[in-house]
Amino acid sequence: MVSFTRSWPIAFSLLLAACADPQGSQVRQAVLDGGDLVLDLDLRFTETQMQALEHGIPLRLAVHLGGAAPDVAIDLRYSPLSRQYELALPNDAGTRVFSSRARLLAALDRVVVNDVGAAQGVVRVELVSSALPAPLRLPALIDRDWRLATPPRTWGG
Amino acid sequence: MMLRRLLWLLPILAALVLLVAALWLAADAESARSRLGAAYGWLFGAAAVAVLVLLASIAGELRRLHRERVEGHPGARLNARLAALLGLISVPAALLVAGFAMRFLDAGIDSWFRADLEAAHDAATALGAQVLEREQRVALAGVDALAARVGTAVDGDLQAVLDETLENDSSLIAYLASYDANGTLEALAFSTTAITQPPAPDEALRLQVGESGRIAQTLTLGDTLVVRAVTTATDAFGRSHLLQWLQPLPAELAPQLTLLERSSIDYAQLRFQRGALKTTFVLILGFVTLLALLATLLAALAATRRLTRPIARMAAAAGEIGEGRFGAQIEVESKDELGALTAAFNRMSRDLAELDAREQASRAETEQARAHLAAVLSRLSAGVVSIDRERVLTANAAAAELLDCPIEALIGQPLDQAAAASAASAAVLASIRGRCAEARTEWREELALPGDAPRALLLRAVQLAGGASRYVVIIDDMTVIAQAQREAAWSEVARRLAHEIKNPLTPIQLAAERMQHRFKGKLEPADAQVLDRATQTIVAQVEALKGLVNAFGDYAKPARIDLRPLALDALLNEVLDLYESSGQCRITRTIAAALPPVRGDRERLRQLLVNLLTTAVEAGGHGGAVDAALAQHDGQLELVLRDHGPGLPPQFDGRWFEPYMSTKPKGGGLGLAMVQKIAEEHGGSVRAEQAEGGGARFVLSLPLARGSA
Repeated sequence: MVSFTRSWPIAFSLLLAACADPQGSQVRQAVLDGGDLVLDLDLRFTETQMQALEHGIPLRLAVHLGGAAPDVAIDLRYSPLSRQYELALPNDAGTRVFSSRARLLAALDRVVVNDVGAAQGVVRVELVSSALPAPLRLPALIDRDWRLATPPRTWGG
Repeated sequence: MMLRRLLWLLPILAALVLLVAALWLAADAESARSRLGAAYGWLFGAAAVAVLVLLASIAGELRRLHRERVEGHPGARLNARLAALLGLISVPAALLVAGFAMRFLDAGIDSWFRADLEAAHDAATALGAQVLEREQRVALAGVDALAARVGTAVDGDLQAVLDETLENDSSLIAYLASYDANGTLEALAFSTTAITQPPAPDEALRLQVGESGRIAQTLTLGDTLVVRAVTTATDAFGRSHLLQWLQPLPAELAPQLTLLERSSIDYAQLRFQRGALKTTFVLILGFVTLLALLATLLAALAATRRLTRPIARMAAAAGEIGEGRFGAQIEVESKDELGALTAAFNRMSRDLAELDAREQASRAETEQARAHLAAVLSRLSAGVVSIDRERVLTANAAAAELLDCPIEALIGQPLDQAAAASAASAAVLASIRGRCAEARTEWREELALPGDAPRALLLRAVQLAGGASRYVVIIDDMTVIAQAQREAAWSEVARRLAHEIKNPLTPIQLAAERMQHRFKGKLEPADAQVLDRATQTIVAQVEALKGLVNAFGDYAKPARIDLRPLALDALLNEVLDLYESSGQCRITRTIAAALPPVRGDRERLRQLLVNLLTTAVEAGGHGGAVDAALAQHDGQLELVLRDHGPGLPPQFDGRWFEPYMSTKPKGGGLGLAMVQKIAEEHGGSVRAEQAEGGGARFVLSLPLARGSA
C-alpha cells in the first residue's frame, strides 16, 4: 500500500496534467547546465491566443519552478506599427525583436533560466490569464482556447 | 441572540461583497492595464459565495414564512402577501432595467467600432508603418554604405571608417558600432547622446542577420524610439564583422509615432476584446441586477416581517382577548400610524380588562345574591317556581316536595316533561299554564289534590318584570297551614281550659269533701252511703278533670327545653326497663352499638318515649309484645316501635297527631300530639304506618348532635 505522504506529489502531478492545455504543450527537456536551467519547450499556442497577440494583446508565460527558485516570466508582444514581435526572456537585459511570428515562436523553443540555485525540482510553464487585459480575464478563466499549460517536468535528481 | 445577529449580518456582508465585486469589475474593465488580475478567481469565488449566502437567506426566510403560514401564526398570511406583492413589483422592474441597460451597453460598445473610425485607424497605422519603414530603409542604406567602406578600407581600421562616416555627414545623428563574430565590440562612433546604452546584437540577432544578410528593427531605448539596422561586412583582410547602425527617430516624428503606436495597440486590443468587453459588462450588470434582486427580495421579506410584526402581535393579543384573557399589551415600536394603532389597541385591551374585572365583580355579587336567594328559597316551607311559556326555569326544594317529584325533574325541564313527573306536578302545572294563558299580571288559586293524602295547595303567581310570559309562582300547602292553625287553636283551648276550668275544680272538690264531712254522721246509713259514693265520684272526676286540664296545660305550655348532647339509646333502655319491669308488655330490643348522641332535653324526650310506648302497649293489650329498634340512618337516629295490635285505623292520617284524636274510649287524645310536638321541638319528626304482618309502626327521627353526623 502506498502511503499518502509518498503518493501526494504523484496525485498533484496528475491533477496538473489534467489541467494541461489540450494542444499538448510540454517541457520536452529540462537540463541543469551549471547553475542555469535550460528548458527545451514545445509551446503550442491556440489560434485565439495568436489572434490576441496579433491585436497587440501582450501574453505572459510563467515558468513555475516549484519553489526551487522564484517563478520567472516570459513576455510576448506585437507592435502593429513596426510590425515586429518582441520577446522578453528571463534574465535578458532587453527585449528581443522579431520580424515574424515564426521567429518569435522559434525563439521560445529554448529558454534559459539563470542561477536557479537548486539541484533538482519540477518545472512547468503556463499562460498567465491574470496578466491579460481585464475584459479577457473572465473568458480566460473558462475558455479552453485560453488555456496553455505544460505538464510538470522534473529536472535534476 | 448573538448568533442570530451574526446570521443577520451574513446577507448584508454578502450584498456588500457583491457590490464591491461589481464595482471592482467595472473599475477594472474600463482600465487598459490589469490591476486586479491575480484576484480575479477569488473575486468570482467570493461573488458566488455571496450569491449563495443571499439565496440561502432568502430561502430561509421563505421557509420560515411558509412554516408560520402553515402553522397559522398571526400575521403570516399578510406577511406572505406583502412580500409577494413587493417581489412582483420589484423583480420585473429590476429585470426590465437590466434588459434595457444590456441593450444600451451592447449598442454603446458597438458604437466604438464604427467603420469610418476603423478605416481612419487603419490608415493612421499604415501611415505610421510607412514612416517607420522609410526610417528603417534609411538606416539600412546607411549600414550598407558603412559595410562597403569597411570592405574597401585598405588598412582595415574599423574605428577610422566609423569616424569618417560620421564626419562626412555632419547632419547624421547615429550610433555606429562594429562587433566580431562572437559579438565583441570592435569599434564605436556616435554623434548623439540620446542613446546611452546601446544593445549589442545577441546570438539570436546574429543568427537572423546570418540568415537574411541584414536586418532592420525599431527599438525603444529608454524614452527614445530608435531604428536599428544590422548587417555583416568583410574587410580587406577577409575578416567578418557585424555592423550595427542605431538612429533615433527625428524629434518631430518620435512623439507622434509613439502616440500612434500606443493608440494603435489600444485600438487593436479593444477591437479584439469587443465580445469579451460585452461579456464583462453584462457580467457586471448581472452582478448588480442580481444584487438588486436578491437584496430587494431579502429587504422585502425583512421589511414586511417588521411591518406585520405589530399586526401579528395585535392579532395574537386579539385572540387572547377573544379567549377571555384581557389586558394583553403590545410594545409600541414606532411613532407612525401602526404605533398609534398599537397604542389604541393597548388602551382598548386595558379598558376591556377593567370592564371584565368590574363585570366579574358584578357577576360575583349577582352569584352571591343568587346563592343567598337560593338559600332563602331552600329554607322556605313554601314552594317557589318560576316558569315561562315553555319550561320550568327555577324551583326550590319545597316546591319539589310539594309536587312529589325530584327537583331535577322540574328545573330546566319543558313544562310537559315536568308535568309528567308526578300527579301533583301535572295538576299544579296545568293550573299554572291555564292561568298564565290569561296573561294576568297577578293571580291566586286554591287547588285541591285528591289521593290517599288529600292536600289543598294555594298558588300565588306574579308576572316577572321584563318578560310577559314569565311568572313566579308561590305554592303553599294549605293542609299544613290548617294544621298549624288547628294547633294554635288547641293551644288556645288548652290555655282557656287551664284558666277557666282548672280554677273552679279545687273549690268543687273541697265543697264535695266538706259536704261529705258535714253530713256523713247525720244521714241514714243508706243516704250516707249514697253521699259517700257521690262525693267520691265528684272528687274522682275533679281529679280526672285536673289531669286533663294539666295535660292540656302541658301541651299548650311554651317549650322551655334544655338541649344537650344526649345518649338516646341509654334513655330508651331506661324507659324500656321501666315498662318491662312493670310487666305491662314484652319488649324486643334491637339497638345498634356505639350510637352517636342527639341534642335533646332529657325530660321532654323521656315524656316522648313514654307516650309512644304507652300508645304501643295500649294498642297491643296488656302483656302484649312491642319491638323497639334504634339505629342511625341518614344522619339521624331512627327509633321504630312496633306493636302487634290491630294496627292503625283505616282513616288514620296526619290529623291523628293532633289533640283529641284517639281510638281509645278513655283517652285524652294528647299522647301522640305531645309526641309530635316534642319531636318537632327537637327538629325531628314522627310518623305512623301499618306494619307488615299486622300491628302499627311508629317511626321517630331525631337529628344527631352537631359534630356527630
